[in-house]
Amino acid sequence: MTEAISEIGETRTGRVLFDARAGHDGDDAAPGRALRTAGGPRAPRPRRRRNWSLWIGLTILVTVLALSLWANVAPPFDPYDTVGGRLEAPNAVHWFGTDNIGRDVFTRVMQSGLLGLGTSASAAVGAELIGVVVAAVAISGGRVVQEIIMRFADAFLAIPGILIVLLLRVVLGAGTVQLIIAMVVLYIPSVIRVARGAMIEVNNSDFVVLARQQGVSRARIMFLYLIPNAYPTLLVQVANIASRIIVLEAALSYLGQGIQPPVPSAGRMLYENQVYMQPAPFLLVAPALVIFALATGWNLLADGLQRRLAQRKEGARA
Amino acid sequence: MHIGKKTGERTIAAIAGLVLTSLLVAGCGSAGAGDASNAAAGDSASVQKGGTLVWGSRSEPGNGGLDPYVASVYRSTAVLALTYETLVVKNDSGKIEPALATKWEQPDATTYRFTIRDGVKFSDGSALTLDDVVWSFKHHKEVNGAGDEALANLKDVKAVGDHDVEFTFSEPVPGFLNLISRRTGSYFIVKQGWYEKADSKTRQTKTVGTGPFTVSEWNHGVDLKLVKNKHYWEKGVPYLDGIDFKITGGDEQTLLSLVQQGSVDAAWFWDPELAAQAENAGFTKGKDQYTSARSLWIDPNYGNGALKDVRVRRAISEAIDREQLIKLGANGVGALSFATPPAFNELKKPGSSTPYYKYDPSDAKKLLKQAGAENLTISVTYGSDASSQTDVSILQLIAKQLSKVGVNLKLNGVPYSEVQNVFTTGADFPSELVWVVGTKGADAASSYHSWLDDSGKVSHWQGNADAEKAKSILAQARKESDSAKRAKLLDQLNEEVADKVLILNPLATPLDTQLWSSKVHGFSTDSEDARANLKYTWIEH
Repeated sequence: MTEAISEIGETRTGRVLFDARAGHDGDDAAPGRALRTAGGPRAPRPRRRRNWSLWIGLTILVTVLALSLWANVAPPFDPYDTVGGRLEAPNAVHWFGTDNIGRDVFTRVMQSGLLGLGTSASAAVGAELIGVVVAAVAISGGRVVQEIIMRFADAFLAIPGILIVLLLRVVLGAGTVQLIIAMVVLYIPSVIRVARGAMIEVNNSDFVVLARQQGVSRARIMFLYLIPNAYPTLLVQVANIASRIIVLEAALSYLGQGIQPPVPSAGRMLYENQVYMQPAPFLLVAPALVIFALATGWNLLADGLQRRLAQRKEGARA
Repeated sequence: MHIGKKTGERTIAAIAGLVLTSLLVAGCGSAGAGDASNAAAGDSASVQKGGTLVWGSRSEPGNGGLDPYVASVYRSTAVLALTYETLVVKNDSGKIEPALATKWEQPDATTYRFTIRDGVKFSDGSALTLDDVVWSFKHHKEVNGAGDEALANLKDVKAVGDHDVEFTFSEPVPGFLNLISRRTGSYFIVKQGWYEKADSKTRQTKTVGTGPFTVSEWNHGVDLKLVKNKHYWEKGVPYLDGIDFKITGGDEQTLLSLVQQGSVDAAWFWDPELAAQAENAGFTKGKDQYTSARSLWIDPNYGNGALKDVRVRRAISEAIDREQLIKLGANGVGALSFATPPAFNELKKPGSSTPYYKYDPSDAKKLLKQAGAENLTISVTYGSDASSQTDVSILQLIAKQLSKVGVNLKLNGVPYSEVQNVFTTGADFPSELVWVVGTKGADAASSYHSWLDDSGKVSHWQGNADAEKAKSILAQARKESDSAKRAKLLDQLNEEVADKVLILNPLATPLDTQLWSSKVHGFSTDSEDARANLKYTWIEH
């Protein structure tokens, strides 16, 4: 008989691992079902359900990437030039129609996809790299350093993100690189918070304690143990932040403060074309789809990575 | 064919009667209408008095509210134009006409004398006095000091006898009448007693003027209500009991929805595309008044000074396809323009013979090659706020057009306040070019002041030989009192500026597009977009 107390329970017959959430979290195992009994007969290995989130997310992102690469490497039309009439409805030549100054919407939308992917990925990775190092410094630097860094991060997190980015835009000026820098700055505190949480667990583990006792330097511990062991959690966060950047960039572009014209950006296209909502609604559909695809793609990828991570943890415990 | 005697007499009598009736109707029409005659004359017989006109507006009066000495935003001055009046006004042909002054004379080059209309009352029922007129101008000068365009050289203004006011200047001010006639300007006649007693908030939210309407209520961000000035001096008008400006908080999409739902009787749109959609919804579109010159102001000394070379500037001018900008960028609602927008009807308009206005990319390439600037990179700073969408489309087109001759134009979008800062403080240009959305000033010569004149706040042409001739013509025009000669000089100036490309003028557009429903009668746009004809407007009940 087993008692599903929590994820890990004890029975009279030995230590048993339970998955109390099984059945709710996508695992085939029934709630309370014993996965493996230490010292008892070996339980059959649970059959893992396919990680659909991961694969769908990846498929969406790769598709957008492929189409965007095509539109950038061999664009059907010059995305900046007047190649058709004004506000042409979608047709065989211009698949998504033309905008108010006769530019091909398909080419522009697809080019915006690469920019969206590039901006979101580079800003998320940038924030992650800096945030992780700062978090590691906070943990390795002792209580005072940690308090200062964490309170600063908390204070930063209390300010609305869009306001911070708008202020940074004023300081840094317009431009795609400046936009990426602003996004990096915005998300560093979130990364610090999550990375610190992940690293504290590692920092208190036996092997790190042992390494410390053996006189391994703080820097070595940071780069050899803390950061590498926290990376799976941080990978999930990269995808998560990227999806948020997609939406934020769209909002900024909508406010006229995102990627600057004439460079195609889906958010900016929404902003520019809103006045044509009635005579040419197709102008809004295409960029909205790209934003939706990118945000959904990154979100599903994050979700999938998280599930994969959970499965690995379960595997490790087993 | 035989016509009986009686029948013939009846026919002759009928024709005579018809002719007489026509003459009488025509006579009545011209006698009663005065200046504007105009719009309402055609259906004056069926005028329905009373009712409130609901006018949809994206925004409300801005900084300074309705204080005639402080307000400068167009939305403010457009409301002031309905509640306060000037001594004289300029008609659509550019001719000065009576308003609060019935006549005027210029005894010598430095003196103007105006005869003030009898029986004029402010909206609070008190009579307009000569002292109010004198005080209004004195106070204007006090507020604006040396920067007062019309009154900087004013020595004295005083009442003469019972009806006249006389202005004496230390030197001739040929643009004086133009400047004080602007309906959307600031040379309004204000009631001294009220203004001096009122606190700042009252001055900015209430009006006591001699105009056909007066402000009754202003709920910020919601609506601004005007009621008829019962004491208005022009008998029989306004026909309306009031005007409600319904404010949509900066959102023109909402404004369009109100038009389509029939919730407003009239509206003004900034965006030409939304105006076109409002027209499709059955509203009548007013005549486009090209009051706004969209210009690229040049700092030839910026960076490596590439724009110092006149060949480079000419190449850029020739590389701009102005017709395409009008057709696509401005949705067809645009016109060729000099620095003086086409709404200055007294001046010549640019055409095919205007130097370097014709789209000629091959000549542009040749000029760039001669100048050794085949791969030129320059940038333009512009206001990228939500209201600048039309400008952004135009600038993107210009950037692409210039790229075809090898000029890389970088677009540097900044909050409009930063652009404004350049003009108000005279700060350095942030790039070679700055995109300026101009409005028609009171005097055509003022279109040149700030960027060409050495004393102008943003002039970058000091010491540049290319600008000397233009400056000399401008100086002559400023001194010329004869309006015809002055217009001729300004025409010469426009040609000279186009030839040396001291400023780039891609096009002009209306600042606003005004539209109204079929219920609205007697309204037409005026050359200042001041909605001056609202006093002759009536609505079907």
